[in-house]
Amino acid sequence: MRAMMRRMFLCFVILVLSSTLSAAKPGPVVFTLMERFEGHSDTPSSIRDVSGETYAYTMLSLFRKLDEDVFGNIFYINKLSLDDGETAGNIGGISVTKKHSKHLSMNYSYSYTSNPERNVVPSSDTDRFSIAANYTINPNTMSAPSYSILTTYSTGTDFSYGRTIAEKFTVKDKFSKKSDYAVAYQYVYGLNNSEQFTNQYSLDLNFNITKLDRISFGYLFIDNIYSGAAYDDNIVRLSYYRTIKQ
Amino acid sequence: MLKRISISAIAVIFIAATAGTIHCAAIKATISKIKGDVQVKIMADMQWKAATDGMKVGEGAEIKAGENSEAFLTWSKGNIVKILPLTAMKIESLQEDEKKTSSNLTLASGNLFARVAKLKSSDSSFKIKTPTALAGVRGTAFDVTPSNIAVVEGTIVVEAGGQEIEVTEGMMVAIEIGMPPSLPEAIPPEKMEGLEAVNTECEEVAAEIVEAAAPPAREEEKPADVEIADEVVDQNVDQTTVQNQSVIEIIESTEFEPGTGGINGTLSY
Repeated sequence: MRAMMRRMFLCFVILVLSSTLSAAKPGPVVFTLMERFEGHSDTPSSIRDVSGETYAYTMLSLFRKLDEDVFGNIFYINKLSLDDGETAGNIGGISVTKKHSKHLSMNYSYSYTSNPERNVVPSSDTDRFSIAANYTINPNTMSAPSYSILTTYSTGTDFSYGRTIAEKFTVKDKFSKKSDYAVAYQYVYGLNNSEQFTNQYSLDLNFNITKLDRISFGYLFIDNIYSGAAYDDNIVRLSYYRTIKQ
Repeated sequence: MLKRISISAIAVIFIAATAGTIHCAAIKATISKIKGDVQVKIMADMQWKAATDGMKVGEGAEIKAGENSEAFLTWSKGNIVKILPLTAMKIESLQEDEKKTSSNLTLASGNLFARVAKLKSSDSSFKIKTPTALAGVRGTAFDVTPSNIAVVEGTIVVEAGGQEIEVTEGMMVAIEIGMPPSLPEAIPPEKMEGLEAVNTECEEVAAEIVEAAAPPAREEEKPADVEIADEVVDQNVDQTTVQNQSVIEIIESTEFEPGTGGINGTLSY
């Protein structure tokens, strides 16, 4: 945890330095707070069985425009197991997003996941890099759906384990001025031993309560197809986001 | 030294002299709700032509309405004149700036009903000149013919034959060429009823035109940076809580067989 805090602090320093050294005037800080309740049908529990689990996530995010079309984000997520009443994970991360056009954006991120020891599960610490390219057809439309393709390369920081490439196709459209939905399919492929890990299907319904508050209700089905996969997971989640703009 | 002072003085005088004149801009009025034969002469030396809905007319324009014909003239967010049948009028000047408006019309013959928006300041004016009188108003609805002026709302000042008289709501004065206005007397009920109907009509048309000219109500939109923050946050949350987590679980699942309660195997990804 201390190592994670050190890394997070380093990331924060980099973020602040990159904003102050930048030629353009950085934008205001946008804080986002997220509360999420998430129910899993099948996921490994703290006693190593695969059964239903429920988690509560709390996220605090700081977002800032660093330069023209360049945005920084630093975030911390606490994952609490409601079944055990204990923290199941602490996730910290930093990302830089560059919008190359209204269609194409790139996201470079580093994240650190610290899962504390729970029952028979020993503690683990993992950190990963991700590079993602998101291409959106018909962005910012008010009348027609937008289609986006997200390609993500993700790897452990020593580049020797857990290397994956994922392709996500999303269709997003508005129900009304305040509500929209997103339907997505994602293909995740493990590069280390060259096999597909999962197919993921999701549906998210989003409702903007105000311009700074939103609620999202989502369903995600993870179809595990890697060698030896013993279960698939159905995930239902309800999220509330509150944004505070400085 | 004296030369510098005199240059400065000239500059100050020039700025002061021009400051008052460059701000007040001529504006145009819009003709609408035309019924029957309404003709417009944009400038004195131009031909008469049929008025059309939405036509813009400015200083110097003359308008005439034939038998059973009428039209509305609107300007400055709420000033409205109904041109009644067999009327001939001219726009002498229409000017507006941030602080004041100035409207000067001439009624040659016929009948105008004017409804005036609240004037911007005490410097603002709205005047209708007839062959017999000059009516100056402030926040008023009134009816003008060359022979009498009737006030439906507010108060107006009528100037005729070298005398000024204030005419209040519900009163009217008669005017003859070269003579001062008569003493105000109550508008007969049947005439007042007709004028109130015209006043209501003008009010509705003015509101309709002001509403049509207003920019559409802005939807409550997310600020652009919040929109991007939402996208980035969603992507990072998805990446760390779903993608990374599932990879970690897959790696961990190779270390044990579900239900055995033990840790087996080695990390292979």
